[in-house]
Amino acid sequence: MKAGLFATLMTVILLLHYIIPYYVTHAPIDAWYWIADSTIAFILTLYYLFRGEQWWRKD
Amino acid sequence: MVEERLIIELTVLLLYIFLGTIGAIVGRKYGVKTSREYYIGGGRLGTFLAALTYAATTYSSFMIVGLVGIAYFTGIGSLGFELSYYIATLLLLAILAPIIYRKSRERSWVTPSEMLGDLYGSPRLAAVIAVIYFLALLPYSSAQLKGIGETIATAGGQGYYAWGILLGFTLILAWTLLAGIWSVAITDAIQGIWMIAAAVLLSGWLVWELFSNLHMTMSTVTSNLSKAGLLEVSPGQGFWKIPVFVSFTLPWLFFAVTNPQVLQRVYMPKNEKSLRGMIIWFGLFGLLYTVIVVLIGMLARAGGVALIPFNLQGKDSVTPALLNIAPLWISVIVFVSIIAASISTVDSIILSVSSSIGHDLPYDKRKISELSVAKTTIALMAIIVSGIAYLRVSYIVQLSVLSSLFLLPLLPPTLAGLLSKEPKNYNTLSWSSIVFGLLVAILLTYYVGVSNVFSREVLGLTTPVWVFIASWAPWILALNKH
Repeated sequence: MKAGLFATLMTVILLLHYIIPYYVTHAPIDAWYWIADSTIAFILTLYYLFRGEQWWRKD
Repeated sequence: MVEERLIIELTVLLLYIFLGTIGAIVGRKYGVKTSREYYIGGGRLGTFLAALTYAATTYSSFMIVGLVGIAYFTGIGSLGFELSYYIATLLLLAILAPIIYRKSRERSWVTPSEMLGDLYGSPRLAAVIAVIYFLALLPYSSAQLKGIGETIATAGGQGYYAWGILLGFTLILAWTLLAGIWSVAITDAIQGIWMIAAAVLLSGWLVWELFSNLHMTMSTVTSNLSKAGLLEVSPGQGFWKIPVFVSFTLPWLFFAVTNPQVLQRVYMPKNEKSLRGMIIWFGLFGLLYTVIVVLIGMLARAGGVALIPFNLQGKDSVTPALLNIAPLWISVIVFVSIIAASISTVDSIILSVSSSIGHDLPYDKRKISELSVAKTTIALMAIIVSGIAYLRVSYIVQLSVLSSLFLLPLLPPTLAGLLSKEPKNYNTLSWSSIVFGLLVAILLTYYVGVSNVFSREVLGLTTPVWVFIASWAPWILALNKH
């Protein structure tokens, strides 16, 4: 995975965290939303740490 | 009963001090001879130590005291606020940690201020940043020590406040001076495990208390929280409106690259596999710890007066109230975890700031050894922060929350320095960011007042947003001109 793609996806997750619900969907946010959002961010980070262009080449 | 409690508290406190001191002594076997060994362990930390020292340094007593209280009073938005920091940190670490790590090996960096000075080819910049670290983190460190004093005073009586400060001062000095980062990292690992174990115990007891002793059901818990409007954040309603959320979150989003005590930890793993392990285990620790801490605050609120039958005086009083009603052993373990969280944060800050002062301030290094300057700085800083904490001035805690705000102007130079191919071309812009950002931070803090920094708007924006804009403004202007 390219660093740029990872950074973009993580930024989208960060925007989905509050800014997008606040300004776009106007939907109330609960704990499960935030836990799911952060867990996805963690899983994506895990993927990048093992398959990201900056990480896989040197072990 | 009071005597029994005091004896158990002292016993567990002594156990904690014993474990930490053994850990610090074990650190000596790594044979610290150079400043590089002393500050960053010669870049030889394994995954376990690297991850736990990162987590314990990041998560201070703000979590188990402050965040529990914020969750209690403002609801689930506190989870969103803290997890924003978490996601941003994962992003910054995954992208920037390998860059910082490789460059730190190539360029033999020891301190975070040295990193910026070297990237921009300016030793003067490194020296100025070392001073900024010192000034920005002094109130934060003092507030942590004050927290230890208050925790001891809550447990033993107001007369014990000074003893709490003395305990903190002694542990910081002993655990830092014994073997530098080795003793700090090993004691951090012990404290990190203690912190998360204590949070799990406290939340487990709360679940037991609510559902078994108070005979509540899941629907009564959710209904109690829902009635108070704490289970959801609706856009435009309640405490977590967008300006508050953004101003609370913004300074913390970039904590991983603006705060020296965590930035320096990226230099420490022994190889890239350990660096990756550090990020993964920090990720697991952070997610679990954040969710559990917010759960504690929410469950305490759901229990209402049936659980806490007395008035609470502000957000910092929730955890002490819980400790008063929790079973003795759990209460004592959590009580010590508050001290552990403070010590693990403040000794890392003092070591890191001292490294910048000792390494990057100009003096004749042929005449005075860097290690002796570092140790003297550690002792001096410990005396200063203990002295400030001993004075027990209330505004220290308010000032301490500004630390990340005052470090925010370091963000553009750090990102540009790490990501650009020729950072030396941006030397002037970096100075402009720091000067302009700090100026706006100081002026606006003075104008709105320390306690209103995160809430009062000036021309429609809160102070952190203005500092963020001011720090980036020189870069945006230069880009437009170009």
